[in-house]
Amino acid sequence: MTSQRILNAYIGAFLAFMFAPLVLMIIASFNDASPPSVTDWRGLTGKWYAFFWMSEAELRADPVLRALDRDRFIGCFGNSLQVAAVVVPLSLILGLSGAVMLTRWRSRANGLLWWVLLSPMLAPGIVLGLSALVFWGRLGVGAGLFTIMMAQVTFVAGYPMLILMARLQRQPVELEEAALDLGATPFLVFRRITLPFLLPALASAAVIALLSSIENYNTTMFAKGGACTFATEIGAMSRNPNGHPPVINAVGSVIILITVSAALVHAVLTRREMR
Amino acid sequence: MRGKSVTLEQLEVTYPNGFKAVHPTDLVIQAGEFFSILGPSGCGKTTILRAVSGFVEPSAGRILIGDADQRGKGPNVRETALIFQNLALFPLMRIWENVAFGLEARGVAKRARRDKAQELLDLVALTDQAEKTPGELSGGQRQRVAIARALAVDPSVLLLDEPLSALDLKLRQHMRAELRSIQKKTGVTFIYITHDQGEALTMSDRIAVMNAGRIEQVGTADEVYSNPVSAFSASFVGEANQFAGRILAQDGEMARIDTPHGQFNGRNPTGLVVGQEAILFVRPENIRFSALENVLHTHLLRRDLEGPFVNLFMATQSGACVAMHVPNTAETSPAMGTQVTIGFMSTTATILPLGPVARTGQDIAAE
Amino acid sequence: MKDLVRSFGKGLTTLFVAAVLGWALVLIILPQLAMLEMALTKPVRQLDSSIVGSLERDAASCVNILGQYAEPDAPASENGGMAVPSMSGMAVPSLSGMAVPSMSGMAAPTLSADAARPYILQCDRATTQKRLVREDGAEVYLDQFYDLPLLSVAADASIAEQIAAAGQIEALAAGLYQQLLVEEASSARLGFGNFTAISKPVLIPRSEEAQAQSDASLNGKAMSLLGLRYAVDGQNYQRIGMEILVRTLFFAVCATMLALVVCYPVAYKVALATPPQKVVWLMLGLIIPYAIVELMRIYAWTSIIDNRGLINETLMWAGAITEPIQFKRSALTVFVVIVYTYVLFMVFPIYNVMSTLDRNQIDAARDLGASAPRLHWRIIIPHSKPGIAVGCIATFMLAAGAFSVPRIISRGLQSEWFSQTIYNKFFEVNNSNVGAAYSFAYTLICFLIVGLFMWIMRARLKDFARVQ
Ligand SMILES: Nc1ncnc2c1ncn2[C@@H]1O[C@H](COP(=O)(O)OP(=O)(O)OP(=O)(O)O)[C@@H](O)[C@H]1O
Ligand SMILES: [Mg+2]
Repeated sequence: MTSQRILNAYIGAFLAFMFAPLVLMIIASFNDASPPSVTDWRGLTGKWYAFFWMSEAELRADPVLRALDRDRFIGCFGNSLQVAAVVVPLSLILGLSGAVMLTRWRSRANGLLWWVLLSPMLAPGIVLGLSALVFWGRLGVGAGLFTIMMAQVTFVAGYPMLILMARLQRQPVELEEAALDLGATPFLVFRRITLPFLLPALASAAVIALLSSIENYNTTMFAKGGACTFATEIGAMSRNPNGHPPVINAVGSVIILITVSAALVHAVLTRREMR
Repeated sequence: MRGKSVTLEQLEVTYPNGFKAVHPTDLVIQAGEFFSILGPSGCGKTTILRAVSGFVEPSAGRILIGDADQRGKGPNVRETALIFQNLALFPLMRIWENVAFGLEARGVAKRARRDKAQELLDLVALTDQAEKTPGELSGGQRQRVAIARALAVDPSVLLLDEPLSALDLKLRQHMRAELRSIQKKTGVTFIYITHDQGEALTMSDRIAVMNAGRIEQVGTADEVYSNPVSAFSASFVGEANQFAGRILAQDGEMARIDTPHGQFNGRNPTGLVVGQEAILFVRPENIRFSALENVLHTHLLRRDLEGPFVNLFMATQSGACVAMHVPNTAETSPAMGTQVTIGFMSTTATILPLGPVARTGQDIAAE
Repeated sequence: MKDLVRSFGKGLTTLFVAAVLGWALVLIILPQLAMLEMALTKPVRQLDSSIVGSLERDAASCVNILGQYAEPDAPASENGGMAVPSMSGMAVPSLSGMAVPSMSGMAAPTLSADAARPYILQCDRATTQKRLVREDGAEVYLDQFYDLPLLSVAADASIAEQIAAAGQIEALAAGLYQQLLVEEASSARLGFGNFTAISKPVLIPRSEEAQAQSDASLNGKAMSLLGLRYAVDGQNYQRIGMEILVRTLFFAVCATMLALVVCYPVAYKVALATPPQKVVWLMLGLIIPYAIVELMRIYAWTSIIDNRGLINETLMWAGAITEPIQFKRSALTVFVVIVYTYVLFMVFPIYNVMSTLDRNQIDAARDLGASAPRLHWRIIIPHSKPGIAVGCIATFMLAAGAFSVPRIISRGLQSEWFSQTIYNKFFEVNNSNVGAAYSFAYTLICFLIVGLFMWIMRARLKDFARVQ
């Protein structure tokens, strides 16, 4: 039983390692000090959050916030949504097609297709961004939101593909055959049998694709040209010589809050399902 | 009667990997017939069924349903309905939607679909289960849903691939009767696949015995059981004692065979001639404790009680083991080890050409 | 293909095939080919034609500027020498606040009274004795190679003579330029020069003591051992590109191994050593940090490792140090944060596979008297192997390709990671070909390592689908 106890202590330490930076980040987001700090406590404030809705006048009065371009920040976030609005549906379609081809296409070239379609997930993210930039540049398309979308789709589509593939493999072929045998056209079979069967997987694939599109930095950074997204803008703030503004901590804390609540809801739902 | 006949003409199926699962086969299944295909696992039963329903393409020969050649028709336009080995009910649809799916595919309005589904559910005695999902039904109920679903599209031919294999014994017996009565009621041609000979013998109008991609014999249950025409049929359907040897003499319907265990007379349905290698088959229930035309000197080796009957295993002096199947009455059991003379009538024994035989339970246990 | 049509119909099959083809070709293969082509193309800057071209431009501007001096009453132009910073080619995407290596080459005019002409960079550069770029590093000069007269604009000659000389050079260069353009267009412009640039040695001027310090450091020793640092004639050379590459891969491998060691017990605990009703909560503890935006996980570290961050302040308060430790500048910090950021990519694949192990097998093995290590070695690890392989590959590729971590942690102070090197090279003026070569080579190397690893582990690509 001592080994059990050691293991428990180890897990505790591991979780502490995972959560401590996040907790510090949240604490610093309420500290009236810039750059964010947990050691140098200058009083409780909510202004790093209020940044997003405070009036122009208030904004200009603050020495730290004054230097930040709020409109640009919001614009970049809008760009991220735009990119995601293209990337998510596109990668669902590509992922579904890839999953179908990899699971159902009986051919010698199938193994090769595995390598090709999985390679973007294995390649360093930066490479995808660069090659999209170069390739579309050759075709005369300048770097911008479009190249970001293309570069992101390249690897994001892999997630839906893997998820859908696992699900497709679990669907008995007999179901499709039975429907065909009853006179359904292949399209009806797909719509009434296969698609409903894939629906839960499609939903979770969409969520994962959305998250990875919005949070993606490595690939986007290389393909973005003059454009910006939420992630690159957040990343760019690190270059501030005085350290990044605590607004980032505020954004991070909000993200943590959202993540934690989503995860809690998910956990409660799975628990209920288990009963 | 809405059933149609099914004709296989020189049907041959070769899988893409080059494996020939069905060798050229001719077969006519009458309209409205309950036809069973019986054979060991892997002999090609499912393959034939899938060829008839259109899931695999014959590599040669053709299939007729009624008079119509089915070449080039996909499964969704053939007048067949297949009931799968694992039923393949749609798990996400309600029962009535499952049953009505074929109608949905044909563009029938929802109202009409629902009504027709209800009608069929009444037929298979599932009147109140329409709103459930397949996961909420018992095995036998699911079985009946699958039948209702297949019948909903008004097929001329219903193909059933070992549909009862997953059920327990009691339910299986019940479903046999039910299937038979549904078939009578609807008049649809049933092609029923099984490797359970009891099932085939009790339900079918006619039976085809199949082995290794070939049909060995076609006939009624009685014909197949009592007058097998190949070594495989004789050994696969029911149990039989086998004595291999060489033909000594031949006289019209009868012949005499010389085996290491003695010389015996038996029927000679295939016209074997003197000198040919052959096997004599005799069923355990046809062996008696008396010196009939054919005699064996044995002693009792083992006795297995099977309720009203007893299986006795007798060892001959020449080392063979002969199975007997006798009523469980006091006077029929000799004492262990005592010498007994047993025998059988020539008319109950069949001499057939040497060929592949089905492995018996004893063979398998011996390994 | 026939199977596909039968089960999905013509329309859908066409859609699927088209989508997959589009994905594979337009998004994956063609971009890589474009990269390869770019990587094999000599940088424009290094072509003979562009050298001649810039000579032509220099000579022309020289003529121009001198012309202004020739007119007696023309005021010495303020912006004379600034005229044309000779830079051609590649538009650089504007990078907000990025450290693109600063571009030099602006000529500042400095008037000197006693010279016949003021200092004019363009005139100085207008000489036919120009060194051409050759892959093998041979010293080849323009005048000798193309049989031109050795001409230059002598600073002590009269302005008129200078103009004449410059004009002659311009004319010569213009002629040769056109000829070279035609020749180069028809000849192959491809070569491996950009790839060899990775291992090109660079002279590093260092003071003696800095050198001694560098030699004494572990990093320096290792690099000299590998032949990536050496000294010739008291001059120190460093194969910088190669050094960063090797270091990055080394760190990535270390990060992967560390992550594996850290994660295995975690995965084991969650998958096999926790009663099912408690697993949900443990999973929450893993999913939450996993789902939080990567950048935020990195930023979360800044308040720990800052000069005035948690560690430094604590140490100073305890009196252990007086000056803050510059964590931001240390590759080790980058390493730790990379492990932190990507460690969970190791946990989930292992967990997913491990949780499919029938717990009865464990009980059976225990019952047969297996000790805990043997249990892991014989039962659990073999079962989890696909998960371990996938986890290792995912973590390795993330660590090797890490860009956000070094960039945010080091605030652009260092270029410790190879992905940053690629970025800098690529967006450096006229060097994008070299950047493309770096990027392509890096991809190949990473794939080779992954392929080798998969071969050793007997893992297959299909495992990726299995562990999801
Ligand atoms: N897709 C296929 N490709 C190659 N060979 C196949 C394929 N499907 C079946 N076979 C082979 O064809 C033979 C006949 O298979 P089939 O499914 O018809 O057997 P079966 O008689 O239905 O057996 P069971 O009673 O076990 O269901 C088998 O030996 C099998 O291995
Ligand atoms: Mg079968």
